[in-house]
Amino acid sequence: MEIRQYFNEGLLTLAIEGDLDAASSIEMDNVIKAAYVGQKYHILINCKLLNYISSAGLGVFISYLEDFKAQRGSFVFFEMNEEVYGVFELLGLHNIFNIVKTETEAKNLLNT
Amino acid sequence: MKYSFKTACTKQHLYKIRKFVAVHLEKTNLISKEKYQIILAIDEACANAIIHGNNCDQSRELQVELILTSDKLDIEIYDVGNYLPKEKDAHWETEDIIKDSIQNKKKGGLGLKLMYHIMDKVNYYRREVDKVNVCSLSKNLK
Amino acid sequence: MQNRTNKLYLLLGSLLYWLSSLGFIWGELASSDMGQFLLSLLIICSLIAHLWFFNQHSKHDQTFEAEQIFTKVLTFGIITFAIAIVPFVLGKMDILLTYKWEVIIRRFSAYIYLLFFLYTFTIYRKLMHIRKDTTIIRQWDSLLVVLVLASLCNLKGVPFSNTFPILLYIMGAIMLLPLIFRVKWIALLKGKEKWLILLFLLVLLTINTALIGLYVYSDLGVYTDQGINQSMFLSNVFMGLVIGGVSAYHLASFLILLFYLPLSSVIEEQKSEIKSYQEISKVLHKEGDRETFDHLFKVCFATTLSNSGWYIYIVDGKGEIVHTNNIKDVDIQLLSQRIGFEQLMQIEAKRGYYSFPDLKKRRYVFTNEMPYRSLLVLPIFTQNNSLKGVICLLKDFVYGFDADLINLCKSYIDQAKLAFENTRLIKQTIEDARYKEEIEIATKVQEALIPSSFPKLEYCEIAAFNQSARDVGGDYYDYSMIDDYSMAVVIGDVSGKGAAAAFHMAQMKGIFQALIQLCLPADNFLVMANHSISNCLEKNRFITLIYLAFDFGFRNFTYSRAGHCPILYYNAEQDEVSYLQDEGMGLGIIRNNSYTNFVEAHQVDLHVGDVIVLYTDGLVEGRSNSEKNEPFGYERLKNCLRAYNQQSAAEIKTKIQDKFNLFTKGRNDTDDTAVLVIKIKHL
Repeated sequence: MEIRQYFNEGLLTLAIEGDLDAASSIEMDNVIKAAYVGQKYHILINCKLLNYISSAGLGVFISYLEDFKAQRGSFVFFEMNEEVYGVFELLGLHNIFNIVKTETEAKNLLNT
Repeated sequence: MKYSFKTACTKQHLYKIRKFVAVHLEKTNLISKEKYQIILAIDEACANAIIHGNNCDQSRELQVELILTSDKLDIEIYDVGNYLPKEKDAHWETEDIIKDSIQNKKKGGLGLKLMYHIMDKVNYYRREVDKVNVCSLSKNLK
Repeated sequence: MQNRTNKLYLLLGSLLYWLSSLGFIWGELASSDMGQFLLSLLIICSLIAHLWFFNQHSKHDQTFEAEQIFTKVLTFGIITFAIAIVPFVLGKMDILLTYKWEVIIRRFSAYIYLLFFLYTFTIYRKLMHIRKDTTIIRQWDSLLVVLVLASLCNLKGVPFSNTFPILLYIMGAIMLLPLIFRVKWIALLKGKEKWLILLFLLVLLTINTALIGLYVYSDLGVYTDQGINQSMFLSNVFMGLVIGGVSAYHLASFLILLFYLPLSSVIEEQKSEIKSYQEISKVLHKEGDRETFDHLFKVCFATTLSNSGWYIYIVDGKGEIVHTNNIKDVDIQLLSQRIGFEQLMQIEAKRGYYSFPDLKKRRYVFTNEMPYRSLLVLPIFTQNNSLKGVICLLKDFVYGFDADLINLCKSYIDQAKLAFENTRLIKQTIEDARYKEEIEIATKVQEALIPSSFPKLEYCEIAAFNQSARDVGGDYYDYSMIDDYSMAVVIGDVSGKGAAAAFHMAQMKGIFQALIQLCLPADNFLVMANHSISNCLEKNRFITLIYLAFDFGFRNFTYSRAGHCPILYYNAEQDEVSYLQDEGMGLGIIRNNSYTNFVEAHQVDLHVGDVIVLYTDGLVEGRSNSEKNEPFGYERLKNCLRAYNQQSAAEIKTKIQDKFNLFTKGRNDTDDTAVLVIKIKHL
């Protein structure tokens, strides 16, 4: 898994490429932790190249959810493929996380 | 037909297991979402075994066995660890787990839930004869 | 040319004779001394001319058979008798002829007489000369000289004392005596010929005597009015010797033949035995076993003078019955049943024959049922004591087969046995030679089919050895680089040994080479291979096999096992040696789609330093030469790899080979053995 970070206009975009499984969730955890520490609370997650996510990957986002909310921040997922979305759906996570179609949509959501 | 895959107990090898399963699932008529979820369930089971059962001890081995027939998929995961999920873990409501995770900043617990969600049967037991932990999953294909 | 000049002698002789006869007809010439002298001179010349002619004639005559000679002589004899009796009859009937006619008739019959006896005399030379030697030729020639001298006695007007003719008679008799007993032709007569000749001789003897009688009654040599004349024989020594010789020969032949008759059957049997031997050995060298056997039966049948018979010729355990015309299948079955034929043949003690001298007494045959009274059973065994056939001979009277006949048959059988053995040996020699040649080719082919050396590969080393129990074997291994990162390795074993297994191995190679090109996953490979092999492998054979697909990119290998010995695997990561235990069924056992249910594919991670040992059952089953007779076994092999896993593939291979050969040292009953070692050196 590879994570590319873009910081622009107060928004941190994380582009995840590859599989987010038990092995790579640690790296993901570190990235999110760094963002939180760096006070970047508005995080866009580009899922275009995210092939796979396991519970460990989901766990990273869930565990930081409360912290970010406390800082009025949030995660917004966009361009998520059907299979990965299916996992969110399976656990009812699609109700907790913001998941939108496009990057523009995601930005709009955060700017409002 | 029966397929097996043997690998060392490390999270870094989870992708190999997923590939192994993916290759053999190609022989079924499942749609890609279903295949994805089965892979996910197996991945979760293996991750549990590697992390909780064997503490990621690379000198230990994990074996995944697929028994694929036209109407059923059976998966057996063997390892020499000692992880057996608690009864209550399996019967927690998903929402409770998520709430618990959010509140306690805990990352685990969802994997097992996913397995129960996806598979038709999940069974953990210990084979005392050769001290092997077995995780048995099965999914009807029709 | 020779013949024509010879005929001139006859013409001359005949001319001279009739000239002299004319002289007698003209009484004036005959009455004077000078005339008589001249006439007798003519006669002498005529006699010599005739003698010459007949002597030459007999040399060129083409008849050699006694029967033909006697037929000719007899015919001639009857004609002569018919003519010679004319003057006698005329004399008896008091029919008076003129002097001239009487002389002509007498001279004529005398002439026929002369021709007949001279002809007979010379033609018998042929009989006397059968199996001739130089003595007999010399004797004959000297007899001719005596005859020429004897003809001189006919000379009239020269005063001869009686001593001269008597001397000639004595000389002639001495010359004739050995010739008369030259009757070797009698021994050569066959069967009924003897009786015919005997009859001929009897008639000839009669005619001969009658002619002598006539000759005595009417002086046919020189006509005189004095009737029987004592000096007649003295004055015509020539005719006397010729007639005497012929008569003596007739008499001797007749008597010898008569006394020979009782002995002839024995001699003839011996002759036919010799002939049979000859024929058998002739047939033996030309014909196949079947013909030889048929001939053997015919010979035994004829020699024993059997009335009926049959024989059983056994090919591939099946008997074929051939019998003579005069016996029915039913009778054969009945007889075989009653004498317990089957049990008789199974008696291990191989007696040469079984004789049943009195079938009726032993209640094997009943009156009015079959005419057979004695039976001889002759089993024929080949050199390796398997029953080749049985000859059964029957006779209509009891005690029909005496010891002599049985021994004779046995000697024929011995002859035939030699022939059977020879045919077998020849066949075997040819087959051996062909087999050797084929094996040589097969060995070469197999060497070409199984790689013995491997190129340097990037990711791994491969080393192998292959030992066949015979010249060729059913073990097979091969490898193929599919692309830069993938390699397929196969090891297999065809059930059975030797050429047949090697043949299937070659088939296997063809199938695998084709399937490898398809880059199939391990499990599919087995399913496809099973399908192909099911179509071409004999029903009772199967192939065990392991197929390994290495993926050096993903650092793993997948294998499928089809009933073959488990893979011995050294895991370098864990420093552990183990057999990869799993299930799998041999190829060709289940020949339909359900085979899929028995196929497993196993994937194993690779690490640098891993060693994979593939082998055939000949290795683990190879037995030690010690008294324990234990197999090499899995544990020894495992220990081997445990000890040497840090060495190169080639060294590990050599170690295994050395250990194995040391273990099975001196045993030659080992199975085919193949070992393939793969060591991962880089990933």
